[in-house]
Amino acid sequence: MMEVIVRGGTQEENESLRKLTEDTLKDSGLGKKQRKVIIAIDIGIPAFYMAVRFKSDVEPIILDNIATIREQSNKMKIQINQERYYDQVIEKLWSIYGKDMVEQSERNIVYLNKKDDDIKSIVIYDLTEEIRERTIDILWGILPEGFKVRHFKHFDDGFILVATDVPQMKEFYNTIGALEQEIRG
Amino acid sequence: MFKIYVFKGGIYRHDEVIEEIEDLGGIILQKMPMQTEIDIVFALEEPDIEHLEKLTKKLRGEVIDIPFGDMEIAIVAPSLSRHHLPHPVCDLSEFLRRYGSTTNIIGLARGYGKTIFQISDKEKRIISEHDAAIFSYGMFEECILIKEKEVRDFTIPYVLCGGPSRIDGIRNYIGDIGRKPGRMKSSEDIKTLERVKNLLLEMVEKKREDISNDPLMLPPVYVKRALEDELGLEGTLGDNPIVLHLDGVRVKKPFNDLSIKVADSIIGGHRLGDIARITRSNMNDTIIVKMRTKSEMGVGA
Repeated sequence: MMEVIVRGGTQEENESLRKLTEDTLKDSGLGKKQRKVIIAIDIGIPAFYMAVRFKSDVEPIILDNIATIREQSNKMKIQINQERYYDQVIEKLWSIYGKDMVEQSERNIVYLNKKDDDIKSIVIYDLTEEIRERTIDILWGILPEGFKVRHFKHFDDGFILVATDVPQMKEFYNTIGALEQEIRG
Repeated sequence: MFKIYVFKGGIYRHDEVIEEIEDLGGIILQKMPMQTEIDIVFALEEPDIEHLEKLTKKLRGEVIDIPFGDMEIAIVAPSLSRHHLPHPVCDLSEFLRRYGSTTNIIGLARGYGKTIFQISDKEKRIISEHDAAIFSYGMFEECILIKEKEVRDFTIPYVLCGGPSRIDGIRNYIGDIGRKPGRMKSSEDIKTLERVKNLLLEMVEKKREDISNDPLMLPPVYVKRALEDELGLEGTLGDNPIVLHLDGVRVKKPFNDLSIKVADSIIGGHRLGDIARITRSNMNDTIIVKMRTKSEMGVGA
């Protein structure tokens, strides 16, 4: 169950923001994907710190999971077995090896014009990254609008965000460090 | 002073209601027939309403007071973003429209933030053209206290809405609004909206009293009807080219096109330009007509 903690304001303000955060994340379908959310308010500066940790219960999908890969005369033959990933596989191979090195002979068969054993472990789709992007998008609706000076610190299964309407200060980074320790346990 | 009412009843014999209203010196503003029912929005002097109610009771209809029917109210949001729209700003707007008001939602260019917040002079002039204003702010007391300082100088009646249920030291404040994730439809939310309406009503009554102590040269409803007839500006359900204010009207047509015709209109034996101030609005280039009072014109009460 998602845990949302808000601190730094009055009890009423904290509860109000906590409820807004919970309702907004649940309505967007991201409630079940979050392990913990901590919001720390420093209204004096003013600054909002938000620490989010996702539930990382889904492994990223690598090429080996969805394709049959064989060496064939100094090339790698990749036969994609799941139609929904055709576009993503090609896009990923282009981004890593360049368009010149990738040939699509049939709809589900792609040749890489070089030998590379690491190709099997290329990440094709990572749900965690999608959750990260969608959570950040939702956060813009939760955080006060005027706090447009923003700084992120990302880690594998979450991130810390500081939002403020003044130029960034050294104090922010100390608080970010403390929050990271708290949320990662 | 004229007040706005709506008659709700059957379409059968509704013409008698219209005749009675006109005999009592009232003005029909809008008729909305719906198969066997009809809603008639009209203006009538308050003491005359009980005469009308004798007839409407006989016809099994009802007359409902719509207290903001002759007002244009500004609902001011810090910006037009998802933080403020549609909840709670549109909820406030819809609720006041149920009581007859014409509402305009005004999004400030830089009404958000704490240190960067401002209301520009032009925005203040636009808001001041309305009969009243509702300011919808966020959930933090410290921010609301800072933003309240900018709002204190308004001379129109206003209500400040925010999240904290109570803030000491600021007037005209209603709490439990602030940021809302969804529509304000629970019973507590409706009670909160009622509190906003009641506070606004209380403040507007004072303004109405001032107007009745020093009456206007002509009632705004009369001016509206006369302008509609003279300039051919009859409205429809979806379009209301002349909006009532407590002390005048707003003609929602370009100033350059119609201001001279509006000023030259003869209403109640007077040239309108002589008994009213006609100015260009700061909002959408419309025409503001502010009636002068009898004391200003040196006419006996």
